[in-house]
Amino acid sequence: MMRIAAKGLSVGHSAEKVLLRDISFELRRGESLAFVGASGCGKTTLLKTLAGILPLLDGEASVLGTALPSRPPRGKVGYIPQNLGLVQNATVLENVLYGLAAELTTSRSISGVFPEEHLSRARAALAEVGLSHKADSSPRQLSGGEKRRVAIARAIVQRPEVLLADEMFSELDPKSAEEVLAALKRIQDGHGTAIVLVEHNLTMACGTADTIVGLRDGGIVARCSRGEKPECLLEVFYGKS
Amino acid sequence: MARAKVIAALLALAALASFIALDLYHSTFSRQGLRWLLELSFPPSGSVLGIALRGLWETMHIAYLGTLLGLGIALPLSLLASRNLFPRRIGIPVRMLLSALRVLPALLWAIIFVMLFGLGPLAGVLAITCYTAGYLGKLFYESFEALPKDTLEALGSMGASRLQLLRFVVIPESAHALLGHALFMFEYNVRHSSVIGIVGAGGIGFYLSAYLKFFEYDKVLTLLLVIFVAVVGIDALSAAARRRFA
Repeated sequence: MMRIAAKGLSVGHSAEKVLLRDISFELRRGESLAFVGASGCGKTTLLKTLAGILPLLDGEASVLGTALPSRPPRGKVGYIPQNLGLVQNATVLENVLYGLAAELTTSRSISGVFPEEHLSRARAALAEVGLSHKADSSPRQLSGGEKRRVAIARAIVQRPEVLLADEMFSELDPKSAEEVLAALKRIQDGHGTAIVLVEHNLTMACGTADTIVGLRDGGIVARCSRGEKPECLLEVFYGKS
Repeated sequence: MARAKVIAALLALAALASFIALDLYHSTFSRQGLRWLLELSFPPSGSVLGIALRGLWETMHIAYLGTLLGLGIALPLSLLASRNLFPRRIGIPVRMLLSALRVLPALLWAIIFVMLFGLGPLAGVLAITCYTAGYLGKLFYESFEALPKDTLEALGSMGASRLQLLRFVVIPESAHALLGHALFMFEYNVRHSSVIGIVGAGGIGFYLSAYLKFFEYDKVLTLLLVIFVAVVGIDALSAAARRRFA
């Protein structure tokens, strides 16, 4: 089964303000795809549409066999927004635990007491991103890169079948970026998670994803695979030469 | 800059128009009245200090209970009224209810409840509760709507239910703001609880009203001084608590 399939997808804020048209792609188990493009081209809007946050304006798309705008089964999709969306008044460990909220019973949702098994999984997710020592810290005490890694841990703790990530590598130093890349590879190869990334950073996108899709002027202008020369993608940012 | 001057000039003109519309330029100040007031008020009467303190104690209870009950009503209603949490078909009627609760000041609520329940502090507590629920409800839902949407979107897309979003995101992230609003409301209610006794809803206001009727201004002044000290004290404590916790 295709993890994500989109055909002729149009996304935007309203019928009068369409940002991207005729977006088509497919993603199988264990594959990764990165959308690259200039600021404001609609990359984040596309990701939010796939996450079920925004409605699709035209075309078809399905995530884990569920046609949008219906939501796929709870807990199967991980999402990392551009601004991370961490709960500032919770610890790092609690933030990661909230990624497992879909598995909580109603009584535990009210009491806020997570079972021991969830605590173990959350600690393991933090270890994967190299932040075990920050479990009791507040997000306010973390650097920009550390906050991003907490958001990644929260998204991967439930072992999602699909991971949607917006600007995954921004604000990361080279070492942290390597750790994040390694964590992504582990969940992609080890758990078969299909990953959709949105990136400004062409180098990171080419180093991370199996397929890179360039967006410009409301549509797809370039598509290349890992290993191919990415010169064609330069058109995405600089236009046709 | 020129636009600011035009706006300032228009505001000043509007103030002048209000002054004329209210006939304020015909008002006169009575020196005899001031002399009379001062003669009857000073020195404040020490004989009613015990009554003043008992009345103040009752006022504090009314303010505290009214604030707590009002908060208990405001919190769930404000969640329902928040546009980012519940659909408009639920939010709109709830907002109308909250507006209706705060459209009447506590004093008018007190008159209504005195008619329904008779003289005494119950009417006062209910009056403070109603106004608090309406006022805090609005402050609360504005705080909820100001929450960054990324957190709600991220957890919502990962399968968190609405209950979980309220429990793990909305309430914790708003807690400081909610506490600040609640402390402010308590401060406000202490002042208003002092007054509602004038219409028979309990507290120190009841004694104020009685002494005013008999022109015993020296006793009125004692009560006012007690209220003043209490309100200043509560304001200071509330400000300190808000700095510490909110």
